[in-house]
Amino acid sequence: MKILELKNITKIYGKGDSETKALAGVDLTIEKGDFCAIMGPSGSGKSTLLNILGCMDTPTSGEYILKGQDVSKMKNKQLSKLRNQVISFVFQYFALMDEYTVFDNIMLPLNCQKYPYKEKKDRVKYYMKRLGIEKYAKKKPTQLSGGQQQRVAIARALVSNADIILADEPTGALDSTTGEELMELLQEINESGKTIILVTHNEKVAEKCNYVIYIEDGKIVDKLS
Amino acid sequence: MKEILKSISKRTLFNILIFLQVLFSILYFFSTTISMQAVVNSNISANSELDSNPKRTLHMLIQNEDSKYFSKFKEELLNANLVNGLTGWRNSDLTPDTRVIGDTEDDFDSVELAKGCENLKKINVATGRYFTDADFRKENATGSKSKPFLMILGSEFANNQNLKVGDSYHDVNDKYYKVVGILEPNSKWFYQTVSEGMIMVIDNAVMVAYVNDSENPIMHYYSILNDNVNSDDAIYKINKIAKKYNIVVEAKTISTELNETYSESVSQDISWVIFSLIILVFVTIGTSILIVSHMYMRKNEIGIRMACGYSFKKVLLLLWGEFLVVSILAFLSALLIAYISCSGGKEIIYSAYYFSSFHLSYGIVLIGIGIFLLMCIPSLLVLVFKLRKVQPKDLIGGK
Repeated sequence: MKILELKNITKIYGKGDSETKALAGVDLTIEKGDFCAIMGPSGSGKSTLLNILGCMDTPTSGEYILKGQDVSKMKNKQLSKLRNQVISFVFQYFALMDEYTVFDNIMLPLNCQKYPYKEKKDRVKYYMKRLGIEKYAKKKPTQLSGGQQQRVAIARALVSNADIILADEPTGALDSTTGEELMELLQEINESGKTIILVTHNEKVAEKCNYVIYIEDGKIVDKLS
Repeated sequence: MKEILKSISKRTLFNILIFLQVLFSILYFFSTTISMQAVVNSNISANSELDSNPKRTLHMLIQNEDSKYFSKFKEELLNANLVNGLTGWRNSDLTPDTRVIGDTEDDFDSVELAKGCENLKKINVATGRYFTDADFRKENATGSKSKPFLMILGSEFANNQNLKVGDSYHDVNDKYYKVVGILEPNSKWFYQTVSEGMIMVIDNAVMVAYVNDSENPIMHYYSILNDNVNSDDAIYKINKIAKKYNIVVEAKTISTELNETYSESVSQDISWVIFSLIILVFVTIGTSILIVSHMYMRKNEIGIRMACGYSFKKVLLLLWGEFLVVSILAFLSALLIAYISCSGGKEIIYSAYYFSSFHLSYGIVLIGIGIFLLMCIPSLLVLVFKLRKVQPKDLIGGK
């Protein structure tokens, strides 16, 4: 079952002489429950593709169908709703708010959802427990190691119960052992039914995924299982 | 709201800075406008409380009344057919004989009125009578048990002390007073001088007939000009008589005095009000710049929020909310400080209270609210314009 589909997506930055084509007609289909890696050299358009997939950026042209809806025509308000309920992110440098506690960071996506606070609190506690970070609830992210911070970021991505998790170099800032642990965790999450798309430079990380999409000069050049 | 308060608590230093900026600029604005208003109010209250014509009523500040020539000066002045009497009053206090030494809380306000004061402002006696000419004579009132001073009580004072017409009152200085009347509730008199515009409510105070006392002389005298006398001529002649008896007199009509104070204070206060408005403009610009630079400092956080599903509107409301909560708190604090400093327009000295011209009126509060809103608008708008341009992907940076 298709969860998202890109049809001839282009993304152009700048105008005139400074025009840069980051994506040049990308066609891509991702099925529900896929665990896919996007690889490619620097400047190939991986991050742009991920931003468009995550509704953080809009394409210059083309069609983006997410769960049957055309996202490319959506307004900011609808896009933020999708970012809250359908797509979650895990960033290379974790993107946690340093002034807030671990608990507050995980709670963040739930602040946009309307159900009782107690229920939200229970949900945050559940994911903290699942990811083994419940004892850090009151700590600030800066008091945690890289691996622990990435677990907080994953807990935050899971708490909103989104169908798709987009991860941008999730192991990029971690040592190899912690990186491997994290990949095992992502595999476990994928097995629970979530669709995961990650961008990586690391072959070992890509090997853990179901298939790898290679991108070069803004175009998909290969897809390997 | 909980989220806004939490966010404020995470940026204490920045919010304290905004708070102090708004607090002091608004407070300064309040103090200048209150001062400006006080000048206008003094003029209005003095004119409205005075029953005699301010243009025909002279105020004489006599600085050496205790000199041996004062009575001669007074006699010649009255014989010159310039004015209809020479009157005045002293604001004083009355100490009950039950008072514990050092405890001034038991003292009562009293106004010692000289003969003729009732020509300046009507005194309404509810029970008993007003003072007669004989009550002001030294031979009739010495403060002894047989020749007590005569007094008229404020309605609240009479009730609280359980005194009625004909009763005696004994004070700590072994002076006796006899009650001749009780005032109507809400009776008023001037505090110190007419032009100061401070009005005393006599309800919990007393009026005593002033008997010439060289130890405690009256300094401010008032006279109503005779019908055929020109005020400038009268002042010239009064100064001449005073010089003859080596008395230092500063005589002016009340209207002249009020006008002089008004124009002097208004010209002074207007420059302070303008200065406070300039400060408000600078604070507004400064706050807007501070808000925008702070927004850039928080771009990572804003990006994270947007990536987690916060809409433009929700982020904007959060930033607006933080700014407004801090600013409104600062405004309310300024309002409270201004109100407390003015004692709500009432001043208590012993037992009575005085309407002070320095007070926070509804008008000033409304103008303050208007100014505050104008101060907030640029900061709120600048947030909209700056935030509108950002995309979450631009905001989330690496470490």
